Amino acid sequence: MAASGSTETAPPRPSLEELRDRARAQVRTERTRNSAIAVVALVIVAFTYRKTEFDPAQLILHADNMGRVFAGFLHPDWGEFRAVADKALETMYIAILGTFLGTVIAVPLSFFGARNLMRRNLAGTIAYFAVRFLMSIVRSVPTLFWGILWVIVVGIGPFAGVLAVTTFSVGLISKLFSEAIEAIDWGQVDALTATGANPVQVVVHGVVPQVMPYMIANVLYSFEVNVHSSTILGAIGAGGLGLLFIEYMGLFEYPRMAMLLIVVIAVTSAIDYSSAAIRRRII
Amino acid sequence: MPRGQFLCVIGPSGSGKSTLLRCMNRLLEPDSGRVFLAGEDLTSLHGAALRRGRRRMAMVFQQFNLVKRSTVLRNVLTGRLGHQEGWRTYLPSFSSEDQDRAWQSLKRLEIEEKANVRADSLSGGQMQRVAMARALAQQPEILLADEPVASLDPETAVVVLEYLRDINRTDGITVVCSIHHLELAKRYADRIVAMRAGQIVYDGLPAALDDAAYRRIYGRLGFD
Repeated sequence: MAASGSTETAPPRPSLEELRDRARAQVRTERTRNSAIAVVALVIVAFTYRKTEFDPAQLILHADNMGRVFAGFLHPDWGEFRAVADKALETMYIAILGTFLGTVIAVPLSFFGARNLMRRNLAGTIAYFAVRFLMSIVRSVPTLFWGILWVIVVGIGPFAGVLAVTTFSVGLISKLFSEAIEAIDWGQVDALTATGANPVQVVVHGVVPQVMPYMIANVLYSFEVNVHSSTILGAIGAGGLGLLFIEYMGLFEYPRMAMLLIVVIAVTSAIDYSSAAIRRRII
Repeated sequence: MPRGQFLCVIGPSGSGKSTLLRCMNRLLEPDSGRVFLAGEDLTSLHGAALRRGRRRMAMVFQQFNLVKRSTVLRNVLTGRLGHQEGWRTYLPSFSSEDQDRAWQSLKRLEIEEKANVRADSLSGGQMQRVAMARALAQQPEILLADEPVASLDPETAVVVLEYLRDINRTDGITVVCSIHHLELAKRYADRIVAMRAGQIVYDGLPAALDDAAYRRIYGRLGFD
């Protein structure tokens, strides 16, 4: 901007001293505010300490219990490895099928749940809020509760587990997909709109290419989450490893629990690691 | 505005150049006023009729706005989307006529060798040539160019404007081009419209744009 020839009269510029005072005052205000936040946080933590009957002394008092468990873990019992491996595979099958079905249902929903695509007219806005509301309800019920509900409906077995994982995945994946769609570069959408393309064409040629890698990454991430949650689904009779774990625990078979946990750790960390490696490569 | 003209829109930042262009193809809705294309009121159109209207006006952008993860060829093919009809609009594939037209446009912009690479691997000048090929594949009557050279270095800017002039002269496509650079506007325009704060403050031949007019547009003379 040229200073000469300007028609508006500029307001008087503040002195350097004034500006420095203002900067100091700003630092003081920020410091006060941050201290207040820290105090509130500490009060909350202290409150939960009382409300959860938190008592470190018990750890020492029950050291013998801990000793028994750890002793079992030092000598894992591989005797029932076959049964555990079978159930571990079943857990994987539940997670794979549940993630697939969840993705199939979530893909169309996610476009309706994307603010930037939908909130351009009244009908779109209504659909957007309906989908968002439904998704948040589905997501707020934990997978384990979904499992209990589906066991009541279809009875004990892995099928209930697949339904539970599917239900939860729809909520999770449609949220992740919607957010991927909301983060697209709108210029590419404008460019296709300007060619006279209809909304379906704009989504197929302009939105899908942009979000594809994020969608694949999100499916893999959901698969990781689903392997974790289907591990415990067996505890309520919805198939997979969980039931064996509960059995061993009831019989105080710590060496067998240890073996089972080793299998769980091996399987889930192998999946987490490979899934993370793939996600890094495609984004 | 007569058919076949090369019109440059100039004016300071925020004066309404982009808004004007985007109102023409209704990427933005004008608050007031009407846009006519060959006697047809574009401002009253909706749905399919609006899309047919848009098809007659191609657009190129300052940020090129290519689908970055798609190939150059697919980007140029998207220029054909407005010409697709019926069930084909729901498929990701293109007819062989559309394919032929896309390759012709690529050849015309001399970027056909890049057809199979991803759009985000190109330089800025190449991206704008792909964007112009996409616009040409659309077979428009008007080409709206929204600051097409503002993200490019001076030499590449001239190359892009030469292509725009060629499209204007050879194909008889009317060009409306917003541009910051006054010298370039004077060199390429048949007619210059200047805007300031949303108002037209100059409308005439490039040669007649003198110091007095310049002061009206920018409120001062030069940068020093």
